[in-house]
Amino acid sequence: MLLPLALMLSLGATPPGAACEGERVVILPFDMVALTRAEARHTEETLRRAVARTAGVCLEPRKATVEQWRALSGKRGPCADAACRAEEVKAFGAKWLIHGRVLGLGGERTVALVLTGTEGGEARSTFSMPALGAAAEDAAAKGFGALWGARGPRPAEVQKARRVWPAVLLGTGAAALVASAGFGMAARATEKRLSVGNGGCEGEGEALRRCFADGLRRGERQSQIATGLLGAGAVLGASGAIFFVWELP
Amino acid sequence: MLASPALAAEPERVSYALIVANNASLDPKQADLRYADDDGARYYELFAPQARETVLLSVLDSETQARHPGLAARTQPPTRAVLQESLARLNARMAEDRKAGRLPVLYFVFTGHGKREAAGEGTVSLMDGPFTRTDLYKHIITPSSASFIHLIVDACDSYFFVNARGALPIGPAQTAAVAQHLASRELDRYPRVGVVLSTSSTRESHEWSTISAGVFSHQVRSALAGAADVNRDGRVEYSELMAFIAAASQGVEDVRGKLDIFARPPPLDRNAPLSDLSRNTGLGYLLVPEGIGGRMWVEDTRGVRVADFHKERERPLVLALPPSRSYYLRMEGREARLTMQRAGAVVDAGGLSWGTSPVASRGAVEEAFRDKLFSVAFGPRFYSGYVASLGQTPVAMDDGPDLSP
Repeated sequence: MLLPLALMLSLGATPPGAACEGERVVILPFDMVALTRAEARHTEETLRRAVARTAGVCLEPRKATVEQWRALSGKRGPCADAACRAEEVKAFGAKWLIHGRVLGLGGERTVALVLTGTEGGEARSTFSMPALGAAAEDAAAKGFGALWGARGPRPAEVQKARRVWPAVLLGTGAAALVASAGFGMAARATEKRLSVGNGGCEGEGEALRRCFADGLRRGERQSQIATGLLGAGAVLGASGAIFFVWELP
Repeated sequence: MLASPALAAEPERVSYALIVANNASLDPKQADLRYADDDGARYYELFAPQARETVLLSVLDSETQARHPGLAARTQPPTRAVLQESLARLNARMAEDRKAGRLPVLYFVFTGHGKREAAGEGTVSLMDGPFTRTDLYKHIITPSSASFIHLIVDACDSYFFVNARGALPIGPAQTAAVAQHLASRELDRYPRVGVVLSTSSTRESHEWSTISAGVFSHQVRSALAGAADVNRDGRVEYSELMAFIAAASQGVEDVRGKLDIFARPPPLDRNAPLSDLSRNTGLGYLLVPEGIGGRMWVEDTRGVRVADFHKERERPLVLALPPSRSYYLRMEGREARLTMQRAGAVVDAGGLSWGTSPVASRGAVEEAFRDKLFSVAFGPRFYSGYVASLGQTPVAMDDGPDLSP
């Protein structure tokens, strides 16, 4: 029971049925230059272990990737543009696709990775990797970390960023409308107060007249502010609505 | 070194290069060459980082000295005495290598004028006299301590030029004469020796000013840098070099530009590599990945054209380049700058920023050569057809990635 689990974990696979919360990553079988297939496979497995340990990554098991590779054989070709790359990522049903190559040049082992997203954007990382041992795993983790950190904004983040402005406009518009209603009610209350009896003023002659005049001015100001806020709220709300519709996918 | 049980058992391969490059002609009727010294300088820059010792016997002209600052101080004149002294020193070092269990490999490169003497013996021109076929066997091949010798000869007639020099001596082409002699039974007595010769049938000498070099030597260097590595094993074998040059020259229709070569691997090991990028070479590497294809060339910031190739879009290609230098990777109308920071570094061309580049146009003939040379893509398809047409055994093609679960 423990052995299969350990094997799955060591190969970076997600146990069947276990929900993985993160971004789905597919690593294609490594190509090689000046190295044998076995050495390329060994390097790929080292990277897989490093990727599987990365938080927020759901690595597709190699077996499933190879099956998809075989199924797509003949339909795939090297891409020269973002649209082609995006199609390739979608064909593998991934959020991120990693093309890997290991090169045995100049007595060193170098890994070249290309991370492609669903929109066809690319990030690249080239790093030296010792052939064996913990140092190889560390190098793989660092190399992948650099690549993962350099990936472009994820679609959800883009959408989130795009939706900020309509929300700000709509929120400000709503606040302006609420404030407008408040000032309108205050103006209405002032009007009511001045319309009944002595309008809440005390005294006679000049003092009474000044009290009435002040009340009228206050009511007028409240009314003007309410009207202004109403207009601003309407404009902001309408703008927010227009931006919101504009940015709908 | 890369740890591999099979490879670990092999003796360490160490290389030495002796390059003789001589513009001057011994015949007053024969014009001096312009770019033989440039070829020598470029062979030196290719071999020096990867060889234990590289010797350049050449008097570089002022243009070449300006293009390769500091190199003149490391050269010696291409005279018989200096050649013999250099050979003696290299042989002593290679003998020590053999005693230590290493596998010494000698590259002997000649670029310059050649001639067939009245007696029929082929010679190449040193500064102080001819160096004959007899000298070749007596002073270079027979006494050599090398486990393998690779002879690369780009004599006068093998140059493939745009500007015709004309007025060359009447008689069989020097390279044909050399080939004839080398291909004779005498060479068969030396199974450790492989040869690469240009055997142009034309009698005129051409140099291509666009690359400031002899076309044959430029093609050989491009191949050795890795452009001919058709199966991506990091090694360039004789059959790969021959096919690469055949592809590079195939589009040329002008008879003056027709370039034929004669190559024979060392019979002792027909798969002996002329170049092995997997070794600790002291070079950096440019990876041109899939998705980028077509006719391309690499030029350094001094304006020295390092390599030309026509890449298939479906396969990657790796070029070895001297480190601590900046380069331009160019294709028609586009260029990308890169810097090779250190030996062993790998630069991925897929991540380079491309911009537009001006295309120089100099003349009708030059344009014809510019358009025709390297006009045919080199890859497994061309290689397989070429090798099959010669009845040779091809190199094993790579099987691609491991697709087992």
